[in-house]
Amino acid sequence: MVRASDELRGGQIVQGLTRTYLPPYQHALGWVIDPRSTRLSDELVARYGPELASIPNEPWQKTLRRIGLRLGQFKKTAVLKQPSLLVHQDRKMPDLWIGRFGLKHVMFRDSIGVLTVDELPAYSSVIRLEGVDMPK
Amino acid sequence: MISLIRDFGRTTRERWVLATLAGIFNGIGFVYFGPASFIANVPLLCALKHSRSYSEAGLLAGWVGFLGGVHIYGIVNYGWFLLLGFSLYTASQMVIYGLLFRGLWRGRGGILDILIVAAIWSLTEWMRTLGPICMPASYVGNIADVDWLRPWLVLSAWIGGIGVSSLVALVQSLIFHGFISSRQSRKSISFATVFLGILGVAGSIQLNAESGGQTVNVIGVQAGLANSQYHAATADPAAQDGVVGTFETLTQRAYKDRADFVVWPETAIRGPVFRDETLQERLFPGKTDPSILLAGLIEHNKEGKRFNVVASVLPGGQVDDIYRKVRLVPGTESHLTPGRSVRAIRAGPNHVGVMICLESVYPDMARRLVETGAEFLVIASNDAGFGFSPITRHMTNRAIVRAMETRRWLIRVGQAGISAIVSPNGVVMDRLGLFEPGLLKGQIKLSQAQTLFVQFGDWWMFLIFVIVGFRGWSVRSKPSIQAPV
Repeated sequence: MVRASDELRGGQIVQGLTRTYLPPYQHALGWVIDPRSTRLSDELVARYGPELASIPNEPWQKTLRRIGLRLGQFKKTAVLKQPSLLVHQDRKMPDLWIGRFGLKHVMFRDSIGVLTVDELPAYSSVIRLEGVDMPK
Repeated sequence: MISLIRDFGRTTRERWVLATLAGIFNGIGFVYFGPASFIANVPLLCALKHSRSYSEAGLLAGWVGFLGGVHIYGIVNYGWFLLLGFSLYTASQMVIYGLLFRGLWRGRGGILDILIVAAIWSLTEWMRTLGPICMPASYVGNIADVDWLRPWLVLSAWIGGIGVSSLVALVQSLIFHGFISSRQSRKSISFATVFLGILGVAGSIQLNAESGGQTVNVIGVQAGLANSQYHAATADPAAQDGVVGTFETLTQRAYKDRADFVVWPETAIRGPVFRDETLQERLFPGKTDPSILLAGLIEHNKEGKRFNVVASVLPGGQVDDIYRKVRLVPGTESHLTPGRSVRAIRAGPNHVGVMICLESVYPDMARRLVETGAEFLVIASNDAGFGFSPITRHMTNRAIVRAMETRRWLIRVGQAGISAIVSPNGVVMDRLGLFEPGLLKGQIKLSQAQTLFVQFGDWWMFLIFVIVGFRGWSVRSKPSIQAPV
């Protein structure tokens, strides 16, 4: 018998048609609205090269070349207008900036999932993903 | 033993113990074991019998209503204040139950004493069908999925679901009177028991009656997603594509299975499907598909108003008709505009009665839809926010009641579940559980017949008012009768 307290402990883990969905949770950066342990390179393939196969442990730089995206390097003061990689000095993996949701930023962080954050974590440079449309 | 029960409740403490017990029994009836409803209020009646004043009777019954309300704990996901508000709401109706019992029950063991208990319960349940919000707590809802009670449940076609709840309350009354005054009420109890037996025989005959005509294939599409996936989809286009992709995959499978009707849950896709041809191509039936899609969507009109709708979409993608949800959930759907009319919608050559979520708990909704030509009923719902709590099961049971009241085949499709195909006799032919993605397939029969309930609505409540009114008049005209002690 399922206890009421268990039922109310939070969201459900849902086995969807194509993947498992975990309940959202609060992270130090903001709300993780779509938690998953996906690696950045797999996320890039899923979003921008769905016709390609994922390659285990492929460096994200190589994945970008395989997808065929043109890259533009910008200073950290650049205004984010389209999906970009935010490179951090103290982190090996950049974050993928997806877009805005109201006043919040929507970003993907390697092995954590999609987050909505009020302020982006400090980054040293931006790699704009040329040819990727801004979501409507 | 009987005398122990008869005397228990003489002290204030005992009466509160009895009321608490009644609150727990009501909760068990709702959550785990529907037949517990047959005894649920018996302890309360024992307590009320010994109550010293109207205020005490009101408080005791109110406590039962409050505890009964707490069993709907699934709504706590929408905020604690809602759970508290609902519990106070059910408590307020039970206060009326307690006061009416105190004022109208004479303790003589006559047939009116037995009937008045069932009548005042019916009144409280009927009150829950009034106003802008109707909460799905009813005895008929508790027992709607209990197979051995089906001969009585199918009487809903005559007396409505509320009439069946009256019968449950009548059983409570018989048990109560059997405990407290078996000698005085023996004749009345026997009479009422025989009456219930005759009703059961009549229901058995009704169960075997043929119903329905043309057979059609229906498929319900259950994505099985939690609300958090929809919230993610509003912020992240990839998540939105995941939701659309799930519906696209399942719906295309349903078209390939050559369903006559494919049914989506409430607000299955929240993007601008009516304005986006790409989405329509992915989701709507193509020219070569044989299916009519009944699609739960959000409609934006030219004035910027938004409606919660179910659209019937013909092969080739043409929208044939739209039902706009009339009874919105207060607060939660305040950003939406209510529809204007409750009516069956066209779906190709047929007419379908659509209820969206909360609307399915209102008995008059299904009745009106059938009056306006519905040949079968559809409930499009999204109960994902209730999680695994018992509310969704109870909502599904209310769907069973709607099918029996109108004697229509019914398909209920929940975004996260529960989805079910229900026969006019209230039998769940097939179902999909909570948070399971998949297709619910079945055959249903179309019907144009109208039940007594559809034709005359709450005529049963007229009888209830007559019983309560007559007892009230007789109490006033015979003031010498002592208040029950």
